[in-house]
Amino acid sequence: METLKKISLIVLLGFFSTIVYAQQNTEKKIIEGFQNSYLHEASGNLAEAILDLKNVYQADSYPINLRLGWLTYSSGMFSESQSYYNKAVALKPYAVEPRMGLVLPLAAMGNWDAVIAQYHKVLEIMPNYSVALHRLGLIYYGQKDYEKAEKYFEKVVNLYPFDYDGLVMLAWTEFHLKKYRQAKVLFNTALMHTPTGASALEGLKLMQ
Amino acid sequence: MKSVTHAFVERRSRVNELLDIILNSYSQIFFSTHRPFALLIMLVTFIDFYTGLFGLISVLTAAVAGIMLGFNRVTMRKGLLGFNSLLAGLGLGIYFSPSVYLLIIVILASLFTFLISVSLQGVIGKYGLPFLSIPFILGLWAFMLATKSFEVLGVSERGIYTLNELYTLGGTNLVKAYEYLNNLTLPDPVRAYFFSLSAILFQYNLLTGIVIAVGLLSFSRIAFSLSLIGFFIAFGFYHLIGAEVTSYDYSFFGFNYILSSIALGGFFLIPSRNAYLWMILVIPFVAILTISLNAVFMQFKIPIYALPFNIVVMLFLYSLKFREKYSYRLSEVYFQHNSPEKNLYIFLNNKERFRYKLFTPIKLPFFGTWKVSQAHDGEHTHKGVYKHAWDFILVNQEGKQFKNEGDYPEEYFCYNKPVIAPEDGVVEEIIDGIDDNVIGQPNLKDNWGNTLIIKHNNEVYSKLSHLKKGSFKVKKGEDVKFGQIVANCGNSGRSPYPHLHFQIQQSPYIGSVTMDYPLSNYIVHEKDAFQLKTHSRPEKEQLVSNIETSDLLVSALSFIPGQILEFKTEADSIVTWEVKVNEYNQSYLQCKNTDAKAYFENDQNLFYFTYYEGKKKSELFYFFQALFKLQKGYYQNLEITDQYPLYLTYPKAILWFHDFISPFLLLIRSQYSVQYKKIDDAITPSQIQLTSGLTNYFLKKKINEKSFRITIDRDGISDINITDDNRQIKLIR
Repeated sequence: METLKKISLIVLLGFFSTIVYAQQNTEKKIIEGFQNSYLHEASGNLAEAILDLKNVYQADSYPINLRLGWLTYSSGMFSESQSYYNKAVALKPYAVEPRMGLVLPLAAMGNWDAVIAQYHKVLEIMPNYSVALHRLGLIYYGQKDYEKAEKYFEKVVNLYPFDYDGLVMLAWTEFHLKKYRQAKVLFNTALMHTPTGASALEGLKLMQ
Repeated sequence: MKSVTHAFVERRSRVNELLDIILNSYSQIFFSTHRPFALLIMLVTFIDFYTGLFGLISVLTAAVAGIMLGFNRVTMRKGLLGFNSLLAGLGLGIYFSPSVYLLIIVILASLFTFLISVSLQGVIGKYGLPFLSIPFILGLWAFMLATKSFEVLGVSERGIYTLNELYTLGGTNLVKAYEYLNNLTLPDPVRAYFFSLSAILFQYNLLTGIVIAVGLLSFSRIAFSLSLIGFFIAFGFYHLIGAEVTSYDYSFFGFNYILSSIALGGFFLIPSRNAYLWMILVIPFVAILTISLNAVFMQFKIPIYALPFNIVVMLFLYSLKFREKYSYRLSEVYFQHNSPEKNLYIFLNNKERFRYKLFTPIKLPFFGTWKVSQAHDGEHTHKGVYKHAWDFILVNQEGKQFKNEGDYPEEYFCYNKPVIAPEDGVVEEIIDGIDDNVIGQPNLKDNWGNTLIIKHNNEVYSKLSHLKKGSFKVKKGEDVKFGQIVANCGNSGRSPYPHLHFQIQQSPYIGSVTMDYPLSNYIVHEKDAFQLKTHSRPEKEQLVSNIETSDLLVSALSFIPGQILEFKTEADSIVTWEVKVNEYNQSYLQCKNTDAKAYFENDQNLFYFTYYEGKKKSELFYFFQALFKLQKGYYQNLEITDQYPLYLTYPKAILWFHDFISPFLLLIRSQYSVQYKKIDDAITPSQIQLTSGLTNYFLKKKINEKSFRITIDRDGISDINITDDNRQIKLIR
């Protein structure tokens, strides 16, 4: 009886140690995969970089899906990229990281509604995330919806009152909204940041 | 001690005056003098502290200048000379950074705008037009263009770092609240409406818009609904013509439609179906003008502000001045109460009660009670252009007009009875010397017989015919007074039997055609009752008389300027009212405790209140309701009815909702009635009792009522018992 117990214990230990070993081995492979993909990406070989990760692909791995999203996007495979990013989003729904990636293939495919929806989601999670705010502002500005653009640029400028890009974009938005006083103040502040800023100088000239 | 109290009262009234000037300048932006609304507007100007401050400084500057230069206090108190300066101050205050230099500029701009206001009042006022916000537009243009070269003025950063400003004021919560409001999912046009309201104060802020909308609603349901109608008509119009206007642009034009709509639909015109209709037709002009003016002015980077509103409203109001025919359906407001509702309810009440106010008060031309033997459109001679005439005879209790067989004129009761002047005037024409006819044989040659024509004014003459030869007591050109005997009744001319022919005509000739003109007041005697008729026409077979006044009533209702009335309430406090006359020669009672005023008219026959202003908790208000209209003769059980102005007596809550439809439809009524109940002695009375009451109706359903019992004795009104919703109140002399 005693002997049976011992054997069982040994078998069990053996079983677990096999699992642990296998796991350690897989993680090692995945890390190697990442290592290789970085090297390939750096040398401009995106196809190899993708393959490196596909070889160790695990559907439930957030890092692999996220990186594959980026690599496929970089190599122009927008649908695939979208699908990897979506998987990453599904795995970590509160994360803004995969959403900020997802907008890349969406934008490349001209799916602006989806891009806007993603930025809104990001801002829902992280209301003061200036990159998302700025980009949303840019999208609306591009669509000539200055009223909406103003809302986002205004927030950027309130968060970063001395950031050239934010100042100039809000200034142009106000200019189009015929809020010349605000535009003037903003262009002038932008010039304090970059005294030779062409865009700000052009704006001020238009308002003279 | 007395002088100290006097000084205190004077100081308090000066503070009140200054407060009125300041606060009304805020509410006048929306044509209002409603204090809560003024406070709300003032409050939202301070959303940006310095803008609010410079606005306030502007109003103060205009107020001090106005007082120092001695301009009309009433106009100043209404805020009419201050609101343009306020707008100029707000415009500058929001544009430039606060500094001492800006303070100087704002004070100067306020003064400049104030002077334009005063001057425009003189220039445009001559044509009966309001200057609206032209002074502010001119003032602000002048200063904004000039300030471009003022280097000391820094352009304000406000409105850019809003979130930082809010964070300083109220931390994250305030920022969150602001963002919550900004992210509210409201339909675009609704957002634009609120933004437009805020743009009137140079802001672009949903919160301000919502606060102003709430203030507007509390001030006037009519103004609020007009603001929505005007705004959305223009909005619809833009979409209809496919104008390329962003909703942001629209917000900055929008107040033009809001203000035009309120001005035309409810403020300068009496709110009515026609006023609304015209407003709807005129709003597209404002919309078109907004686009075209903007296209021109934007070349110079000059904002048009409220210019389209000013142009169109003035254009329309000025055009109305050239109407040849006045119409109740589209009536201008001649006395401004600064509230569309008040203007409407007073207009409706006046139309009902005083539409004949400017009529000459022609009364019956005889003493005692006569019978109408032929009325207007009579079956014998009152036909065609002569149809608006009356024939009167005297009858006895059996209804007979003569004694014996009636074969001779002398047998007729009216024959040789005095005929009196029906109103003050001048004897214009006398025809005398025609003999009385034999009964039944009219003189067809001298149709009118002996006749007297009295001129009452250039367009009203009265003619009395078939008079007795040689009975004239007056001469041509002589002044006569109402009640003065002028001749005696006879049987001359086309008169088969003695009677008095009476007609009103527009020209002074014997053969002039008749005019349909009502008699100001008379009593109709029925079998067991009496009826007071005002501005009516006696009808065939009616027994009619002038009001025979009772000395007791005449003396109790004779209120002489300077007279003091004192009543003791049940709580043993004394209420004191003084009889006064204002600069417009209007008589009123003023309560010394509450300052409330009850305006009244008092002629030979009638006493009636016209208007009440002040606290409704004052006992004077009960007095106003109890004695709303009285005739000064005592006729047992006579009942008089009248209508109160709704805004004074109708329950506020129902009226509030009803206001929305009042311009089109009235489902409510506030009725007054008085009965002549008791007299202790018909010949030499020492006490008369009247009961009166107020009943409010919604359609035909009674909503509430009040009743009053008034006792009058030789010393005047001795007491009034009031029953108000089961509450008993007593006023004792």
